[in-house]
Amino acid sequence: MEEQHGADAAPVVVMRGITKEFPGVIANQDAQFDLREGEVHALVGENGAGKSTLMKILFGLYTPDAGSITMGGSTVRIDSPQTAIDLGIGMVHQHFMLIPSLTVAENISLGMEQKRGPFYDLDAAIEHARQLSTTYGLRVDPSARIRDISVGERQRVEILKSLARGVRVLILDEPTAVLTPQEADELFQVLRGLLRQGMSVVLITHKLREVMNNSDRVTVMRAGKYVGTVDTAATSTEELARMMVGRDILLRVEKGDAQPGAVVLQAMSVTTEHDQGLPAVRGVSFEVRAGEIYGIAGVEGNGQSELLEALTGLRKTSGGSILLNGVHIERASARRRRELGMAHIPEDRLVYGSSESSSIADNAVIGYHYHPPLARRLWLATSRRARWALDLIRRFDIRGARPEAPIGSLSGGNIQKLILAREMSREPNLLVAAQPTRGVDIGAIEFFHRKLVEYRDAGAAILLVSAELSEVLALADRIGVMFDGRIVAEFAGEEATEQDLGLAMLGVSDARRASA
Amino acid sequence: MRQRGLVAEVIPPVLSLVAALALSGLIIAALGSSPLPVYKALLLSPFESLATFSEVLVRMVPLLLSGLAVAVAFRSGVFNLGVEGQLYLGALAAAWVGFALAGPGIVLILAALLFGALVGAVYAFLPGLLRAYSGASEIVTTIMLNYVAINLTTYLVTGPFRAPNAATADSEPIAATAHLARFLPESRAHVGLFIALALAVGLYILLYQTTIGYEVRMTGANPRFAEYGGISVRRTVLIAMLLSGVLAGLLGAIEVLGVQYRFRSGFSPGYGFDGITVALLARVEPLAIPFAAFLFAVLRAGASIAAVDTEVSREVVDVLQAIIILFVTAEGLWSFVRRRHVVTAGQRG
Ligand SMILES: Nc1ncnc2c1ncn2[C@@H]1O[C@H](COP(=O)(O)OP(=O)(O)OP(=O)(O)O)[C@@H](O)[C@H]1O
Ligand SMILES: [Mg+2]
Repeated sequence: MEEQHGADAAPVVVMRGITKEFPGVIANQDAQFDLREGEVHALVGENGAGKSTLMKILFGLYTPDAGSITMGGSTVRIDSPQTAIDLGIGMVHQHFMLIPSLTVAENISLGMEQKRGPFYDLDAAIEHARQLSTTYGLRVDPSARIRDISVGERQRVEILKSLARGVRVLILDEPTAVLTPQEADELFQVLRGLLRQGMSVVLITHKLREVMNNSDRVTVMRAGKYVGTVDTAATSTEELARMMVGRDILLRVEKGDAQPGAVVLQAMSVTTEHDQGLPAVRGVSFEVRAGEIYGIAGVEGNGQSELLEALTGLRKTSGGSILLNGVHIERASARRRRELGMAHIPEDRLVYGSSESSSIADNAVIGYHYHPPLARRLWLATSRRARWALDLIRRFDIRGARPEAPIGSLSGGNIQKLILAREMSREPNLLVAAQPTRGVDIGAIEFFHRKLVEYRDAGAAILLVSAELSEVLALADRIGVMFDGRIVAEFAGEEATEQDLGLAMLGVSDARRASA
Repeated sequence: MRQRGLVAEVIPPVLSLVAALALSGLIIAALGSSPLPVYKALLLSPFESLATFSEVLVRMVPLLLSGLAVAVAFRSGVFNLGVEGQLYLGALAAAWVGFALAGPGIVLILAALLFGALVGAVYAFLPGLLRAYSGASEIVTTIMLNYVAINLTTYLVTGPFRAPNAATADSEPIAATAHLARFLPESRAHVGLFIALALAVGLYILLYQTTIGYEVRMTGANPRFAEYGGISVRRTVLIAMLLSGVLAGLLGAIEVLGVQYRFRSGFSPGYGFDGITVALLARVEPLAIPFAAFLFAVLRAGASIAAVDTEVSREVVDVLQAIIILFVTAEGLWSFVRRRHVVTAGQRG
């Protein structure tokens, strides 16, 4: 950030020799971390490296098997999040812990309600939330209900919740994974303000660009162990990548020209509605051919998610038609679409993509669980299922995974990798991929991108939606830009620039339909 | 669930049991009695003679079947609170076969079991349909249908099916050839126990070895994930409700063929609801349900003995029994809820 803090800045937190073992996995092994006052300290590492675990230990969610935590020179025992908060440590999890049916103000004041007589003082809570919101420049509407607000707003509420409790140390676990680039920029603006007030921030992220632009120091972890800490100013994305993965990473995608074949997916004037009945997609037509990657770009909330849900059968269409290899599928069940060769990496890995409490094997077979080789008539082929899961784990390098363990025990990125593995395992002829690399480490992204191009070259049609413009630009052979429920412009992949796309995404009408 | 170590599985319920006993002891002591004889009556007396032990086996059968019926619906994410009504109808259906039809014993028994299962299934299918197609909460509909079933069966045995010279609301007795065989001398323990145990194993196989079971488990664990994976949640919920009704119907039928030998209105002391406790106690795992049912049956039998043999009153014994069940189940309920907890916003980091 703008000011550099020398080694003289006092450490607020020092973690030493932290070891934490889960059944069958050593998540942290002699790990260390220290945080200086007023710094943003990035924590990076591959999926399953133990970043979340280390920070959950600091936040009192896990008790370490060994190691010590000191704050301001004295050893502390943090045995619960409440203790952590009392010590001035707050954490915003990637999976938010808000109550959807309550308002923003109620969520912020939860557990520290002000009373008026015997009653909960709602006005005071709203006023308090409003004050906090202006003090820290975190825009929220105190009386809105959580379920009605966007992911970015929910995150601001989470941060306010910590600030309301007077924390001095804020841990953010992959805060930008689900944010739009604009929201991410805003978040970093806010963080700068907090630093000026003497807060310290731990930032876990897989986006090295973010690390380079917004942190003072970086700590790298690999396989549960501490690799090193470097000053951001004295490092580069390449060096960080090498420290994380232990080898050089190709940060660019290498691909030849597409050889488009027959039309695989054809959407004609597709319309569909939001859950509340308002139009979300207002007549979208496009086609994806065998052997090409079609990218959809757009600012979040312009109908991309709903379009994909309609294409994959998770949402009813209200008009238009969808053809998969010439077969009408707009009314077909999700199962039928799969049988016709469609695979789907869903946007939300915990809601649609996986069942947290079920085993990795159960998660690895869904969609294909009922036919050979995974089943014979009504009988599951239990041992083959386990082998199938092991094969995916091995091929996609899913860390810390055993077929019989619940998928919820995997790290976030490894859950995503299992979903990618499952959806690619059947070599679909249409792969619909929504935000496929969210929360996935750079090594795995490199692997996944290479695989996508391989599939394309083998004749698969791929539809890719990503909030990362760079990902769309790097992979797509053609790009459609969605704005307000329509595809407002279409570009050839090699001709598109970030600027063209950016303009079209904002609905600027003279972004002409370039060669498609 | 099954993946955790056996020790980790067994220790929490044992600890809850110890805590419950300690609390009960305090209550008994506070009432001025000595806890030890009560403990002994409650937990050990059922094992003192073959007669008392076989009564435990008799009581265990309906608890076990009810636990299975509740569990199979639970696993698909549906709360079948209508087992009570379903078992009454199943019982009457079986009794009707037993007193109205004639034939060799084995044929009669099979026909009675099948008819009981069928009627139970149909009666569970109704709330299943309502839930699947109109979204009506099965919690409400199943409870309401209980009243319908209980009153309907009472009406039938006080009217059309009433035994000619019975003083109570009973049906005619079933043919003696339709009685389930007993397997211990001088006791009521009947082979329905083995049928119930076999059904527990069957449910385990169904859930873990078949595609239908897989679909049931995924639907219960995360319906949106199931739908995404091409599983019809509606169809799966209906199948689970049908299976639940089959088990409830069999419960009624087996009670009639093995213990009652006729349909008696009001014969169930709430087996359908005890099944919820049993299922939770067993963490909704079919193979654990027989053990939970056994523990529950021991407590029930012990309570009867304690009320007679010790100085504490029946009411106090009931309270103690409730404390034990509450403690042991709360732990199971907690882990079940935690397991089913579906995260709705954002993603894990
Ligand atoms: N509750 C748990 N039970 C069992 N194993 C766990 C649990 N939490 C984490 N692990 C294991 O510990 C290891 C480290 O996980 P952690 O979540 O800390 O990784 P991470 O660095 O945050 O990864 P990601 O970038 O994917 O979020 C993983 O192998 C994971 O499977
Ligand atoms: Mg993590």
